[in-house]
Amino acid sequence: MATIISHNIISPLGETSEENYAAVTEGRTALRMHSDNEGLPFSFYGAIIDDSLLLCKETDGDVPLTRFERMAMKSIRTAISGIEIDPSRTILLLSSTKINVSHLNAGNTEESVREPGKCAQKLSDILGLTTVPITICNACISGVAALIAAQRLVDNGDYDYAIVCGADEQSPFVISGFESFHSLSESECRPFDIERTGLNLGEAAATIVIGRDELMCDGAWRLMKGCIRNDAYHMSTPHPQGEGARLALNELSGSSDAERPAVINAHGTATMYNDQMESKAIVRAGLQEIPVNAYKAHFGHTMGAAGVIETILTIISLEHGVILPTRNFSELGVSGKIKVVEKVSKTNRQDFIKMISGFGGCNGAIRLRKTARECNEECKDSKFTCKHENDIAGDYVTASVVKINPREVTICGEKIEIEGKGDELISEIYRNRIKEYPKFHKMDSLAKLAFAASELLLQNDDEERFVDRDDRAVVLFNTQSTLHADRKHAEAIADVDNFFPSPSVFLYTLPNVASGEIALRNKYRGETGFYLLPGNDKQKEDELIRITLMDPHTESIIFGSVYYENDKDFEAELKLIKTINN
Amino acid sequence: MDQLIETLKEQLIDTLNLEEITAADIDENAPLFGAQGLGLDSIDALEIIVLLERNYGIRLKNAAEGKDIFTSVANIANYVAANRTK
Repeated sequence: MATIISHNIISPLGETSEENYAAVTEGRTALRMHSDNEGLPFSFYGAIIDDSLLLCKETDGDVPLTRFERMAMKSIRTAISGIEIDPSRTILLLSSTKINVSHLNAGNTEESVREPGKCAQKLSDILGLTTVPITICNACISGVAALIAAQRLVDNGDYDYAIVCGADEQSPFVISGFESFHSLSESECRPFDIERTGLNLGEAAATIVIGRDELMCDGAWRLMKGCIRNDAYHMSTPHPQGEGARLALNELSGSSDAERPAVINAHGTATMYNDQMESKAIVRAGLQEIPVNAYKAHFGHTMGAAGVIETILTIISLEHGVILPTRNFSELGVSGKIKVVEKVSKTNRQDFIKMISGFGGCNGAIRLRKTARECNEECKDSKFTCKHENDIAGDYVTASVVKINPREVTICGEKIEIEGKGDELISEIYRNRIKEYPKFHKMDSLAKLAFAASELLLQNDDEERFVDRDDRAVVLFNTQSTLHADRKHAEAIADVDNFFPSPSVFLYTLPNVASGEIALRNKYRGETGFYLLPGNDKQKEDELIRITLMDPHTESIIFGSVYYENDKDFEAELKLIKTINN
Repeated sequence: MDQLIETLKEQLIDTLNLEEITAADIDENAPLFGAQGLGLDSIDALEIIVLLERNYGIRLKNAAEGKDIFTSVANIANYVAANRTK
């Protein structure tokens, strides 16, 4: 069973997990007003890491690192110091929404900027690892999604160690995007409070090193189980009843009082919609008696780092026998009657749920518990289904394959007649084969391409469509992330005197929204995700398929690569993968 | 006012990517949001806020204000006529 070996947090509040925990218990916050921001026509209230903290030895020999890479490397180096890892049995999982996007406009030709999937390879190479890293690019749930991926890869025996690093840098690119959604608060955020007015963005890097149980001594924190579910409701507004989050919580909540977690550490961004939705999901999952807390008023929303930081802080607090309070919360301002923690409280339980939600309709939750070594007994006692341990990885078939490029469209190798070239080809697929889904026109090119391919794939399949289901996952990947949408958004904010970022353009700079669109169309509430890989790698694709099938509900996957550079250069290759017993 | 309504219809079609709709299809008095009318949603409302700021110099600080203004094209036109700075 996957076990936590070490961790680190780099934030404006400190350079180690312990420093950050101490800052939180002292009631400190990294949030403050930032005026005179280069490239932004407004002030913003958030948390920024002082560059002097990052001017460390981590320039790593001759390899120049971007600011984002320095954040990530500093955290990783600190977390792995003193651990002897086998470079051929250790994988780096980078959790980040936008990686090096702040350098996009600077005429930067560096690979790790233009092809974000290669950034993790650069870091992995510096660390001397000989395995191929994965970047988890699942908007705000990336950190929890990366922990879940790590748990599955380690449990499956693919690796002995997984280094999960969550990091994101704040820049005009991201800040303007959230501002266009009117999500930003002009003062310290107030999670779950009646007077909350929005979120604060923050930056941080956090790392958790996970290893196989056998490598560990007794009494360690273990990743018991994780779950990702999609709302299939809307790409930027959460389901009003928190349906996806409820489904994820249901998988983790256990069935008797003895199995209750000490605390649910919520996402608690302090936007009206998020906190309301989480409160509904917690109540609907029957967990309304469990204390709920949120740390966003200390660090802000650190995006790719959030799930990792918040997991670490909850672990340390339970090590100290306490549940941390929710800074700035005073009166419940959500309709789900949950117990938001106001003051430090004591507990002797070492067991919690971390939940998180994000754009693209995705929701994630993971259960961690400090236990003795015999994990099998533990699993039996607490009725966690460890079904995946018995599943034979690789037991799947490809039911059909659709390929689209600027020149042609093929279904299972057969070319189909579609008029038009380039973008027009994608539009023609819509006009001829899809129709009556006006949302299609609102998508960006990458999402349109993925969507069109998924439609052809599903039309070629016999199963009834548009039926609510959570047994089908949607998992897409590429190396370039959302380069086309990134450029569009960067152009819209290039001139501070003519600064009109569009929320819908920004939305599609989160690649997992393409997966979400397919889930929404088809009412899929199963796992959705987007991964970045350093390059074409069939073995890696197989790895992604196998970890996706480790969710015990998942029976089939819409899986594949989707890439859009411009009108003349794009490609999608989507497969419908089914388990053999399906 | 009629001219402004027509301009707004074109701008909405363009900004919101309403590809299958022409200006003539939009009834300026019909609801823009919800199941009837154009069926716009929350992200469209945010786009309309950007549209008003860019083209008419109107800043809506609070997104919730949009709810009362964006009920129909005619209503948006009235609001623009009364508040435009460019």
